[in-house]
Amino acid sequence: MTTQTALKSLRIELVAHSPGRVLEFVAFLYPAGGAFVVGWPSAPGEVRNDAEGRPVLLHVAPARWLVPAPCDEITALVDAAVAASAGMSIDATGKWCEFHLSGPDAGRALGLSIDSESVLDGRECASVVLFDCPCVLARVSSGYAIWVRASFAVDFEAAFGRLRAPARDR
Amino acid sequence: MNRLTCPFCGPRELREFEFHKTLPEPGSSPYARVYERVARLDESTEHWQHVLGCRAWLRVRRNPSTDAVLETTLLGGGAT
Amino acid sequence: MSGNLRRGTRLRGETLRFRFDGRDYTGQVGDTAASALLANGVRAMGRSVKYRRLRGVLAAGPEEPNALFTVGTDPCVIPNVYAPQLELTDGLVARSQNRWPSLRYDVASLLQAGGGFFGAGFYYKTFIWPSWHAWEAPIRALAGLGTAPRDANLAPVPHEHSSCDVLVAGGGAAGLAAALAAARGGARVVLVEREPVCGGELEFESGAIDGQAPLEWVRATLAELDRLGARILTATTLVAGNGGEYVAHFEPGGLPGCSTMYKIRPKQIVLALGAVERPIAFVNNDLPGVMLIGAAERFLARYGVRIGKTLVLFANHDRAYAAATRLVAAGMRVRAVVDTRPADAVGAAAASRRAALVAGGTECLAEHAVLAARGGREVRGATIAPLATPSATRNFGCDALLVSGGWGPSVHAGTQEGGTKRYDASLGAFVATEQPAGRANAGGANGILELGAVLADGTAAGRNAARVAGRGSDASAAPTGAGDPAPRLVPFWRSPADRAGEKRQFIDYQNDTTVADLRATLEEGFIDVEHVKRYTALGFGTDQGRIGGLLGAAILAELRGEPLAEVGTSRLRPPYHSVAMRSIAGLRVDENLRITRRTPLYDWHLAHGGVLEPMDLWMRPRYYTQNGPAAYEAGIVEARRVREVGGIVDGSTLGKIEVAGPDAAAFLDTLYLTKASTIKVGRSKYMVNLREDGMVLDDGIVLRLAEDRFLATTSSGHGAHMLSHFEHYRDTEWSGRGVTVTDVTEAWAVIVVAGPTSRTALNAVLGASWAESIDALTHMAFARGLHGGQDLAVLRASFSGELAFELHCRPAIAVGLWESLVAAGLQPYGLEALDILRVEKGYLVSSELNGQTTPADLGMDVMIKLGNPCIGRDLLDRPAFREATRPRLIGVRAVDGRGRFYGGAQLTAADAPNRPCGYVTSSVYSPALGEWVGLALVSRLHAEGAVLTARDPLRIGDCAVRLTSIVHYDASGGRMKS
Repeated sequence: MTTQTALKSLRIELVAHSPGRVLEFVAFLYPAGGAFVVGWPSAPGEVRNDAEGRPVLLHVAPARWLVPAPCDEITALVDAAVAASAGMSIDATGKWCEFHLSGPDAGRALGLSIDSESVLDGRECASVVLFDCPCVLARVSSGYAIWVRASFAVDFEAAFGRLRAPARDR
Repeated sequence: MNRLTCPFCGPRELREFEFHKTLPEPGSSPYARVYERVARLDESTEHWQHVLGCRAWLRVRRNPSTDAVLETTLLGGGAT
Repeated sequence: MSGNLRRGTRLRGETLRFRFDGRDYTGQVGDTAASALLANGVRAMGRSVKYRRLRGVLAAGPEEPNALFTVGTDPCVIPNVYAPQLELTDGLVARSQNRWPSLRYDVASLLQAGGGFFGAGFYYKTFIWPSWHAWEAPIRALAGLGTAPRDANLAPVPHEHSSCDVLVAGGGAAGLAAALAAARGGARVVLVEREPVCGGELEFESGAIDGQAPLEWVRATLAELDRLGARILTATTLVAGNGGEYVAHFEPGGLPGCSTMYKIRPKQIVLALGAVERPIAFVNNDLPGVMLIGAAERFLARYGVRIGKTLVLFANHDRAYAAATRLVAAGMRVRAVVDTRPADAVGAAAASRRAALVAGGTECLAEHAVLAARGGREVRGATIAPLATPSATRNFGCDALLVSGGWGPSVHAGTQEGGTKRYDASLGAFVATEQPAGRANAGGANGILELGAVLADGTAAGRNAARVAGRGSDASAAPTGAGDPAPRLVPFWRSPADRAGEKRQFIDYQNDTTVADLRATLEEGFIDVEHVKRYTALGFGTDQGRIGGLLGAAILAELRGEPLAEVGTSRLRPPYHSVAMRSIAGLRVDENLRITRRTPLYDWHLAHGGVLEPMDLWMRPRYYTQNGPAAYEAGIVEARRVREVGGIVDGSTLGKIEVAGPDAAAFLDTLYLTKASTIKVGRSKYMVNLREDGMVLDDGIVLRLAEDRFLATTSSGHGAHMLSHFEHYRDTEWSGRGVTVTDVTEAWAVIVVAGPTSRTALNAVLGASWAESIDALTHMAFARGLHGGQDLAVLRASFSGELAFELHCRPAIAVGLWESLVAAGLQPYGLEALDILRVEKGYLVSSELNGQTTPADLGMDVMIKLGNPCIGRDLLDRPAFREATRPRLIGVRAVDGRGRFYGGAQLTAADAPNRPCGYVTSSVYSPALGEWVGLALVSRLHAEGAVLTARDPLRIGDCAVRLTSIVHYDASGGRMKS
């Protein structure tokens, strides 16, 4: 029988990643058409990963892509799209803080804010609000990659921290 | 109605969306557009924003008397 | 009746100690507080809310109206815990409610002993002089259930969101069959059961399923469900449904607030919530020792509690005979079974049981009724009479009186969202009929009360749910069962009684609603069942009318002389049972999830005396403690220092929106009162947005970064709204054009460097590479480059009237830059000083942008005259905006140069001392001028130089003021241009 335990201590791990340069590419048209779409994750919530399985191009909103760690290849892709007048590249360095959530109870921890299974149903990333903090949530092999708006990051980490901490006993 | 289907994000809880306005009748004057919006019981066309999700603006057609959402479409993107 | 010799399906043998109303008792692991107290011979467990009548436990589930306890010791208590659901734990401390000083002696109960009962509407009619408010406090002290805890000291209640194919509510025969069928069809199934174990009536019913004892089948079914991956949530009650999302409340141990709220979104839901037994109204039917027959059977089967030595059963249906048989088998003496029906109305199986009971010495009376329960503090006997001749009474001695008037199918959850119900005469109850898509009832909730039919109904509902949810259809054999046949029943609601007796025929126990109340209510003209509910509080209690709702409606129908089907019952509302407020609050208690947005300098401010105040979700320093004991004093020190030396302030909370694309300039032209397209690259402009109705929405500086790229800043509190505003126009009028809108608020930290030494300090900090470009900056121009390898823009702009620069830098270098500026001799200042500097210069603070001011009101006529056709421009030409009395922003100072006046003070002229012609929007004590200065919105009839009175009778009284130019300090602007 399914056991129910109080959420006193979830087996989760939340690791903050040091921030680097971040771009957002925004297309003028949606759905984006023309030659520019080749190599781009064009379906809603589609993600392009690098060879190590790290998300490098995330379709987070209509006509908007998050470029969390612009490598040469992706930069070239973005530059080509800009050159083709398909959209604009915005330097959003400092806007997002990156976290990795893993552990057997990671899904349950997300379940306190959203029904992550249905939110990520048929897609690899989604724009969501976790513990009242605006985020981009992406499924990765080890769990979830989460980009949180930087001004919320401290409270975001604290909210997950409370789930690990034992609650006061009655 | 406690859920809306965002054309980009899929079905999401209503709390993620923010109502903006009921659309005026076509051809209204600037004054009427601001002050003379009609609240229709049978069908209401409204602007909402998926503000706690992808932030897309949506056109929502719904029937306020049955609470049924008839159609949700993206406003932006140039598709109109 | 010793506590330790009992055997029941839920008991585990180990002894537990607990305390109730100050006395120590023992029970067993697996007991509930109610079963353990009953086993200890304790009958009285509470008092009613209105009459404070002594009450015992009536039911064995969350419909229990009487036995509600307060658990814990002050101040950490949990009130209103259902005793039949409160699991016993070692050391548990509980007490009864609604009594003072003790359960046995209650002062307020003397009210009924003295003047008789106060009927329906008593409070409305009695406590009207001098007013209800005069009476409210003492009455409130007596009213209500339990007392709210002062410190519950509980962990927050998490809300878990999930979805599944089929949600089954109820783990009895129907629910288990439904879950099994759905899971076998491949559906992802979640089953919620409010009891700590599944089984429902199978816990005590006779019968067999697939050739096994019912509880064996339950065990096998749960094992198979587990193998199929179904999620079984016990001790979890479905409390509400809303638009396809169902809230199920996990309360381990039956303790409200110590729980998890599951928010489950199934594709299909099967409601298998069974049926709730109802009492019959007879005189003193609320005495401790009166209990529902099904409750007595549950207490016996689960906990081995024998409810009395000598019993009388009173019912209108066949099940009474099966129950009596089981009670006798358990060693209790059943003195009589009183049946309201004629002898020939009894079904065959029940008739044979009746014969056996008679043979065993039980008197079985047909067409009889219990007229009254006898006894003072608990049942000592029953008064019984033939229905044809109610005066021919006989008294039967007994120590428990078990009653059953039939069952009300649990249509509760099924009708909250628009399902319908119909009256079923054979059940004497309403049965759910049409249900919205995605929802079905099964089993007892459908009015099916025979085991085999219940299993078949559950299986069909589960199969169908799995199929509709897009999963396969289960082809394996459905469980078959046979138990007691469906009980034959003839509706019977109340025993005969005279008018005096009707005052003690209780319908709603918790609210003390009696038959007499219903009669009085009708006489006063409240006819509709919903009105009756509100006038008598019938169905208001924690049982939500499950005990008395239908009974009350039926008696109402009888008194009105109309069929029950037409009278109907009052609408059932969520929640299904009482839910602690903290459960609804979820994780949002105390400091949990009180989100603060932090700038990169947040920690620095806190470490250096910053006193923070909220603005939207941001926290910003109001002042720094080293500059004064409070905002007023420190603000003056900080503002004076900015004018004399200089200072720095954290502006990172400003909203920042990057607008990019070939059409960006044209797009911004429509969003601002003046044109953005005329700004040259490398320059910026102070601009104002209008709402659609022409009122000023926000203001800020717009920087042109490139031909096709702008950075628009918004005020801190408006950031989120302005972003939505920009995005709305991009997605509507500008859809498909070459413009993009991106929130870059966090991408840029902003440090404002203001004061006569600001340029020197900046050059010292940024070094020689920046010196030339900073020296060359003219007002509103900016330079861009790198500092510490990160982007930096230095904008020359001033909101203080001093020479000032805004540093827009990447967050990574913000703290370093800030600390270097401090080292260079610039002290930080807070919002208090910022406001002083702004008001001295006549810059808008924030109360001027109140949604009621046009640009003309704020003195922006020049901007309007430029004629840019922006949003809201059309409506600026309305005649009312040109009226002579239209308010206009103007400066204000005390006539004597010494008086004080605060923002919010109303301004009146001598000729109309009671009719304000305007009000002060902002005021500050100006250290530069040595007097109070302010801004005000005043009718255009009053020009500069006019003398008015600033009236503030609730704070500081009147002050004579003179209207002045809005610029109080350095009117020529020489300091800013230095």
